[in-house]
This record gives sequence, structure tokens and C-alpha cells, in this order.
Amino acid sequence: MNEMFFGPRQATLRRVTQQRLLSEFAQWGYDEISTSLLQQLDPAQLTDRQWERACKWFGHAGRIHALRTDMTLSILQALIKQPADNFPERVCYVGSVVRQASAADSAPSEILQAGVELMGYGGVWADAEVLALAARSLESLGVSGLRIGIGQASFQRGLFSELQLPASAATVLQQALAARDLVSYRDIASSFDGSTRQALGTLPDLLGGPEVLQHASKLAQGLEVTNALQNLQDVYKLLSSYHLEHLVYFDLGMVRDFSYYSGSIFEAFLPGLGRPVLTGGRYDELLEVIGVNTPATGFAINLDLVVSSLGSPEQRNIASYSLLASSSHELQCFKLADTLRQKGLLAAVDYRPISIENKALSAQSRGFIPVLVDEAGCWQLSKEGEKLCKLVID
Amino acid sequence: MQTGNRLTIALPKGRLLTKCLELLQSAGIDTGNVSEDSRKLIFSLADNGTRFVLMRPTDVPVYVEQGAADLGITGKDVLLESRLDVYELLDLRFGVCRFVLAAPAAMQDPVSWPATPRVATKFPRIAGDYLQNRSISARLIKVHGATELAPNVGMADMIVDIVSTGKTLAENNLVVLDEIMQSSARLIGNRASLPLKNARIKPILAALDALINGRER
Repeated sequence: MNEMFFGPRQATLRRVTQQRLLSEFAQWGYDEISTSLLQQLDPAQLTDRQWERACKWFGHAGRIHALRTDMTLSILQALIKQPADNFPERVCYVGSVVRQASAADSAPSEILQAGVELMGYGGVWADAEVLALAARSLESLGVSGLRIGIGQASFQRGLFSELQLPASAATVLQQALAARDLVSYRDIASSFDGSTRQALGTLPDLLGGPEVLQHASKLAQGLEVTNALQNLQDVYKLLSSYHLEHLVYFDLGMVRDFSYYSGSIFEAFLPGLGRPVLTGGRYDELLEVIGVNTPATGFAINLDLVVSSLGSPEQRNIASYSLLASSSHELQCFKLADTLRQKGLLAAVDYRPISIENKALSAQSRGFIPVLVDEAGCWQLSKEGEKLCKLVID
Repeated sequence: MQTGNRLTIALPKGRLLTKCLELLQSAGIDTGNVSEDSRKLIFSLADNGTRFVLMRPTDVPVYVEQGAADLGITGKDVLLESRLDVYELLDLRFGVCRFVLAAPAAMQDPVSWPATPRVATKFPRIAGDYLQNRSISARLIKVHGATELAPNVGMADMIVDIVSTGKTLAENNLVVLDEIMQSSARLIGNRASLPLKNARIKPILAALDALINGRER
């Protein structure tokens, strides 16, 4: 098991980060929703990969139960059970998914995700909104060095069909791209002749700024390819109007692990993390599979990966008192704590049977002001346990 | 953690290292004083912010997947066995070896095989995939070295192993029953480094590709 533990400060930072993201999502009109961690699986609705990575077991009457492996899927499955006129446009969430590792000898892992889904309309407005929200929400966390890569599933599909590749070759090429195996990809590509070979060979190199779209337009001129490139061009223009274009690059060889993406696909990186902190895209086809005929776009942020780049958690910013109870003054401490809390301060009593000096030291190390209560009143102590001054609480 | 624009390249210790350094140098890539002679594992080039780190070949994809190294060189066999999420960028065409199914000569005809042959191997995933694709039901026995010993002491009926000359097999009275695949050294890359450090990686990739494949990018 890949167990997770978050100590006192980390857990707070994790919670604060979720709240910041949710409040950014809310500012864009996305309503928070929540789905169950327990899911019922229908193998017919899943790709092989989704099926493999679900942690699943058999229940009553041969039903297959699983832990949630994918937020988008779970949200859509919940939403289609709602009355049609209740189908929302913009939703956001924070939730964990549990995934079986692809390697047989590794343990499943739990990933906390925060994300959005924009449903009901597609096209360049939806793509630009979701991409801009992805950028703004990560930037609201104060990260630096953010880069967002945009690809187009329909560009590849259009290119492959225009090159009249046999369906089997197109599948193998896509599998090689999805596995990031450019050696096999180029081997297969070089089995073709002339311009086909040239076009296929160029695809993985289409990575960079808007000039990439110019190069790409020379490879094929069919309708699907032209529309895909126009979509990227338009999205770039819209992001420029939010002054986000410097964060964006294009990657036309990008293939998402999920086969349900149909249009634009994207992933965001932060320096030093090695993996994407955010992935997303358009997934109209997924909706068709589960029986909804509406376009949809969304993204999911790997919350703990982002949190790991945020630096040290914040200290408590309200006055915090640790009341050091000696054996004869526990009741006074118990009552004083309540008085302090009523005033909006933070108070905890240390009842442990250890010396006052040790209690004072421990209070200091956790960011508390040590306070001793005795016959003469309340005293603020130094970390060595010496009385500094009398504490007056009115 | 990687900072700034520094490029970290993971190289395999052992038999592949000399070839790696030769190849990088002939492609015009400065490798400084990287060598296995000292006990040093990290070699930084002061001038252009490149750093080489040495490790076991099986650890190369681990460092690259985690982003501790941007690029790395290791064998295809290691990649297939680890199945980690890294870019496989170039076939470097050295360190060539073959994966084979081998057994004592008496087992050359499948009719002589036991119902469920025991197969000893250092590469359970490669062997497992191969046996499954061929619909051979077998029991895998994982060993860590000297695989050819297993059939000779009766622990296994056959082996899946890498061979380069075939000499070791012959010395242990084993014959090749089937060729599984070929392996060679690969240049691999981290998923985030490719876009984030493209300006540093692209020239290296282009120089190696031109040298090996005569391909212009």
C-alpha cells in the first residue's frame, strides 16, 4: 500500500490549497459537487486501461464494485441520473481517486484531485475558458514557472486519415505515442514512403510556440486537420487576451492516456516535479458512451503534487496559549482555556505529568505561548520556564 | 529536485558506460571527466550547467521518471522490465543483445516439454509477456544471475535470458529454442523535461540522431 500521512502543518496547507482552488473555481461560476468513492462498474463503458487500473471486487448478484478511479467518469455517471433540466453547466470538485499501478508488483495509490467540468457547449470558447481557469487557478497558489502544453486529438486523427493509413497502423502509431515510445513510432513511420513517412516523422517534433501550428499546416490540408489547427490558433488568441500566452506551448504529438478525449487535450507542468500537475481536455465521446449527447471539457489537478511545490506551510497567525497545568491547578487551567477561546484566541491545556520546564519547551516548539497558572495568578513563561510577566485577562 | 535550466543526464555504470561516453563525445557533447575510475557519482560541467550522474542501469529509468534526471541512457531490456513512464527517444544501436528462450538440446521439440515447463529468468515481465503471447502455460522462476545454471541442476526446464555471442549457452549445453526480441541501448527522457527544457534537449537529440541515423530534424 502507498500509504499517505500529512502532519499537522502539511494537512493544513493541503486543506488551504483545496480551499483556494475551490474559491477560484467558484469565482468563475463553477458549483462544487461531490460523488461517492464507491462506484458500480460497467465493463462495457470502460477502456481496457480503465478496467485494469480499477481496484474492484464482486458484490451481491455478481455486481462489480470499485473504488473511484476517475473523477470525470464518476461525476458524469452521477449527473445523467439527474433530471435533464437539472443538468448543470459548470461543476467543480475535490476528491480522491484510487488506481491500481500498471506494474503487477506495485501497490495501488490514492490521488487527491481538484478540478472542473464545463458541459453543454464545446468549441473554442469552452477550450479557452477551461485553459484560462487552469492557468489562473494554479497561479492563484503562487507557483512559479508554470507551463501549459496544448495538443489536439482530432489533429492526429485527421492527419492519419488524410495519409490513408491502414486502421491497424494508425492504432499502433497511437499506442506508441501514448506509451511515449518514439523509437517504435519512428520505426513504424519509416516503413511508409515519401511524404507519408515525412509527415509521420515530423509529428513528434511539433512541440513549441505558435510557429508549430504553421509547420503542422504544411503536413495536411484536410478539413479535420485545418479545423483542429484553427481551434488551437483561436484558443491561443483568446488566451493572449488574458495575457496567458507566455505560459502556453503546443504539443501535437500529445496523446492522453484516456481514449475518451476527442478535441483539445492539455497538461501543465511546474519545474522540478517531473510529472504533470494538471491534465485535461475535451471528452465529448465519453459522454456519448455513457448516453449523454453534449460537449464537455475539464481538467484535474494533482493536488499533492502541487502542494509539494508550495514550500513551507504557514504558521498559525492568531495568539496561541498553552496552559501548563500543575497538579493542583488543572481546574483553573480548564476554565481559563474556555475564557481565552471565548475571546477568539487559541488555547490548549498541557495536562502531561512532566516538569513545567519541559512543558514550556514543548509549547514554544509548537508555536504556543507557555502560560503557568498558580496561586498568584497567570504568568507568561520564557522557553526556559521562567516567569516573564503576569498575564492579565479581563 | 531540478532547478533552473540545469540538465541532468543519468548514465549506466558497467559495460555500457564506455560506449555511452564515446557516443556522446562523437556527437559533440561534452562529457567532462566522467569515468567510473573514481568513486564519484556526480560530475558537473561548470560551463554549460550540464551534470552527469552514474547509477546501475536498472535505476536509470527510475531517476528519469521521477524527474531527478532529464535524460538517461539504459537498455531496452531494462525499460521493458521496469515499465516506467518515460519517453523512449532514440535507439542508440549499441549494447545489442538478443532475448531468447533456451533449453537443453533434448527439449528442442515441444513434444518433449513437460505439461507446465518451469522457466528461469531474470526478466519475469518480458518472459511472462512472451509466454502469454505464445499461449505457453509455464511457471516462472525469478533468479538474479547465472540463469543458465537452472536447467543444469534441474531447477528449471528452460530459461529466458539475454545472449550476445551465445558462448555461455553452448558452454552450459543449452540451445536456443526461439528468438524473443532484440535489445539495445536507448536514450530516454523525462515527461516534463521535454517541454520545459526543450531548448537544451533538442540539440542533443538532433546531434545523436544525425550521428546514428544520418537523420536531419
